[in-house]
Amino acid sequence: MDGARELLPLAAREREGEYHESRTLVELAKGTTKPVYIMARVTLLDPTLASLLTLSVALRVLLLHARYASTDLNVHRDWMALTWNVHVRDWYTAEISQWTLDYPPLFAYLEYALAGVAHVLQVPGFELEDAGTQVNASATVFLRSTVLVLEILFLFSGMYVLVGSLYHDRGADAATAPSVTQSSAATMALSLGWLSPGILMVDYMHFQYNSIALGLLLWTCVLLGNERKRLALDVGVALFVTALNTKHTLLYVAPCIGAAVLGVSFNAGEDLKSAWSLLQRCLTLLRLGVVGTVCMLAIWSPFIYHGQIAHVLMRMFPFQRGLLHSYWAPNLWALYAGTDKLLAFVMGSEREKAWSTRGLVGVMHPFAVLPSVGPRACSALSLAAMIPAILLMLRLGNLRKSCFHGKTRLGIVLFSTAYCALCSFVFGYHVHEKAILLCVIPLAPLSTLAPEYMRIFRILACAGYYGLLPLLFTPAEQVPKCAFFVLHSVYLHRVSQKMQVNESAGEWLYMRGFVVLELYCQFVHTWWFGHDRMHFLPLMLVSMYAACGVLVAWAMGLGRLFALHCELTAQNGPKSAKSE
Amino acid sequence: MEDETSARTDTEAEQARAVTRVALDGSASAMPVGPRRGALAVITLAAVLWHSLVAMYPYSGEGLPPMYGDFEAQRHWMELTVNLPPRMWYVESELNDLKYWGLDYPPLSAYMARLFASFAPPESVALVTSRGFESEVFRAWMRNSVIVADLLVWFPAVALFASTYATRRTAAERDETALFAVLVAMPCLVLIDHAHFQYNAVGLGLFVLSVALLLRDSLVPDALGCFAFCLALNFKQMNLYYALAVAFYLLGKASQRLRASGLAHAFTYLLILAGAVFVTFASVWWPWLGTWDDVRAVLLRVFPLHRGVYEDKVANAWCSLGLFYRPLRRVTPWACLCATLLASAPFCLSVLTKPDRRTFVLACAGVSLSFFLFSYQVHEKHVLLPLTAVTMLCSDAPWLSVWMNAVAMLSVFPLLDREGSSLAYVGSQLLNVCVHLFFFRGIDDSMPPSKSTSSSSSSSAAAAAGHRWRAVAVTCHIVACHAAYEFVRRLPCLIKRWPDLPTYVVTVSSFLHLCAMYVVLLRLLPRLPHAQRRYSSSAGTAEYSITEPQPLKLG
Repeated sequence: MDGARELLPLAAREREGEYHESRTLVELAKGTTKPVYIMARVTLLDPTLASLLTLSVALRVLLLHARYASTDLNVHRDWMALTWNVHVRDWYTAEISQWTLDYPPLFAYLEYALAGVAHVLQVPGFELEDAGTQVNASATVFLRSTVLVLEILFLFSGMYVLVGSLYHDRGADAATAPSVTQSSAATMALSLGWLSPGILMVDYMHFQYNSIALGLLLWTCVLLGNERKRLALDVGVALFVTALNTKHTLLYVAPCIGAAVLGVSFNAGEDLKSAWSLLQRCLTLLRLGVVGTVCMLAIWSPFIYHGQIAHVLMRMFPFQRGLLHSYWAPNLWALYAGTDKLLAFVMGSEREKAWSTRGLVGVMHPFAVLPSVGPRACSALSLAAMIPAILLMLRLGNLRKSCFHGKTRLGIVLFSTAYCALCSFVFGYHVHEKAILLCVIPLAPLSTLAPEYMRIFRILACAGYYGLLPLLFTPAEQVPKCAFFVLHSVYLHRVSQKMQVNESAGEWLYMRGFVVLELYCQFVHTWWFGHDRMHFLPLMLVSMYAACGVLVAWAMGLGRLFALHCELTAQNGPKSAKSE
Repeated sequence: MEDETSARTDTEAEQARAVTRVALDGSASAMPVGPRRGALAVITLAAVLWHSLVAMYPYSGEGLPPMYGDFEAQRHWMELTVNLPPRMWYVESELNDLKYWGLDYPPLSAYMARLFASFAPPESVALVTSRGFESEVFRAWMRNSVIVADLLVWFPAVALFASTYATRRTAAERDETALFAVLVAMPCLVLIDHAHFQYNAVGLGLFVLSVALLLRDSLVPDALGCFAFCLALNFKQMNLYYALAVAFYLLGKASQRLRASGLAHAFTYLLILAGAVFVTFASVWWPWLGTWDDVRAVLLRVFPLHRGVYEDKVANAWCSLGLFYRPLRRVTPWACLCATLLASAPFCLSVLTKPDRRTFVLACAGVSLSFFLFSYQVHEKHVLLPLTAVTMLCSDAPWLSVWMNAVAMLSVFPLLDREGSSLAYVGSQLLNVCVHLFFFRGIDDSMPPSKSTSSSSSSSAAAAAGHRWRAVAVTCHIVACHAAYEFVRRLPCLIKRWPDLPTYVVTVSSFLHLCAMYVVLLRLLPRLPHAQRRYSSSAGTAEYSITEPQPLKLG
């Protein structure tokens, strides 16, 4: 019987419920083999991963349907029509519809290329005269298919490579619970990444191209976390510049990535006392700077040539917008505005004005009671909050993998990136609720690596995705969006149970609160107030409730960063003592 | 999802638990307990998500006056049943125009429509004035009503079946999860119910429930099973496709009792079952039992023999072979009946002589497939009946199940394409592969390919290779069908002469697949005793793992 078992593929045996621990024990007892350490086999030939990939693609294919169209679909169609029909000189000045181009140049090139593909495939609806009209069915399917293809190219591949290197490096680390094998941890991480409801809801049901920038960011992290290859840093810098030019929200994480590059290239283990090594480091840094600048210049060259820089920048950074988007993103300012409303209500002053805050985009709405907050204050706050992560990144070169029990460079880079994005999300000026993806997606592959990450990810993902739900408001989308959210939360709960990450009482209560709140928004509110009164109240409650979770996750992230700092210091302490 | 790896308990304990569960009662409340419940919850949620996403596709006849489609039929039935007394439901009157989606399902369907109608927005079920009523909110309401019906009937029934059917296997818990997931995911059913719009899952759920009850070897569950099966018949007359298998299975059980404990015992057994059938029918048909005319009116509506041998383009024998030999299209009901009985005879006889659980489900599959291929008045959606039965065998023959699911979807593809749900079709085909891949580690089956008892790894490897070839062949054929469909559709010269040619390409291909399926099912029959011996051996813990299939190469 045992002989027959030996012939089985490893995956099959694990499937049978035999973990590598028990197998090793059996073999040790028999005295035949030495202990076996099984590395994560993150390969698509594994049926579980293959089926996971198939499921992810199947879900996305299902979402390609032409029925439900959002404004963002119109926006991107108009941009395609614009880039295809208008000279590059006028991209950022022409106004063919109310949706003017406000993404960075590389994204505009991408739109141009996609419009070219649409013309080759003879998809109707990408002409100038179509701009501003409703997108037709075949154009919708085409647009969503481009999202699918680009997501597979960038985000799927990035996540796959990331999980592969993250879990391969773990070695005999006992950080996670013993019941979770490497490969099953990797599978869970991949399922959290590939099947993330956030991406499905924002990129497909609502329609955006977040996956490109996110995928490039993951690839950047993989390269920055790579400790062996020299050229990895250069490619990483180039990739990040590229990513930045597809979506400028990546500026949120730019300080962190910059610090990581600096940290990795400057103090890579050896002491910097000799002038030669210092010079070498400076040269590396110079080289990286040149790579970044060249990439940037190459991308911007048409606009430099035509003298359009000012126009592009003006479109990309519209500072005339208010502190809050029309739907409040679940961050600190949502709580601030909510408090303001409450105070205004209690004090009864200027109530009319205060209640009408939910207005158009681009309207700066002052608060009724509390002092207003400007862009500078927001930026200063975000940067201040990022400081621990930036400092950690600067110390990255000191990290020795072997004695830092499994918390690899890649993991730390990812975590700091996610944390920086979260800082900008929590304190930033005019943040969109969709920006939560930038925090959740890099954290997803990390979450099953160690219980501490899981604890942060669980509350952040649930709160952040809950804040996304009001994005889908048509009657037909209510069941899918709730099913997405509940399924994701239940799955997270099961994963954390498996990793033996317990819930605190507060967390338990908070998670159940989602259900109560959603029931209120779906049923009780209309029953209570009718369809036309107080329609902002559910939205306000949702974003404030989600904001609490996001803030808690941010605080936990901050705590985790301090812990990492301490561990790093403790790790370096004995070493320096020994060398002296 | 990964639960089945960790949640594996002792086989004996599982068996003991199953025995106590059987002894206690046969109700759906005997849900499995323990960590599996979490897995089932995740699968249920995922299924609801999938259903609701498919539901975003257009329904049958959306925005197509004056007749609309099946969505309007269901809405119209709600309108009729809530406003008219039951005796008026099936007869022509000035308020009930039978030519406009007259009620042609048995009473239980009508009762369900009546039940749903009482929760519906009043303007959507107003008599006569609400015809063709469409709105975003009502659309979502109707779609959600299907999901609710699924949650109430289909999911519990499947869970009960999975826990009953999987108890005697070595990897019972894994099988239970897998059975539940594969049945609940059954993509073709989801497409028909949630995209096209019907309540098939309720009827099929009642059938699955009856099978789950009939699989237990004692009197009370058998009677309850008869009750559930009669409800299924009264929900949708097409469940008659299974009736022969069920009848012969019960006869076989009776003959076992005859041999074991004598004539009187067997006779009482049959009498009790007949009583259950009679009581169920009487109570469901109560409002019409006053006069013979009422009963006749209902029967005429429920069995519309005047509507021809098949509807639309069906992947059955008469429609496909009729392409090549015209007279077959005008075949009489009697000839159909003879052909059907002939085709189902082997399955009936085998379940009569050997009424065990696998033979029973296999017989259900075979008989319903025979009915689909040869009987009278077949719709393309009736492929769901053989599909459900074959999918119920998925833990024994994953390969058969994945094949059947793919072919069933192929056979309804023209319908879906006409309604604009072809993308849902593509996604569903992928889901079919995905679910089987995840739960069965490839679509290799564990029914032994040969009679040899040797379980050497070389023979299983050879079998795996064979399955891989079959998978590649089937995949290629399905892809080729679609290529031909798209190609022919774009040739105006052909379309002008034969407008239905693309549809026939698909249906005739599906017919060929279904014929092959019939042959495979026939060939499985004599081997079942052998398979039975393999799996019921309580000590053979290693046996299952030896035939652990190889990963599937995805074409």
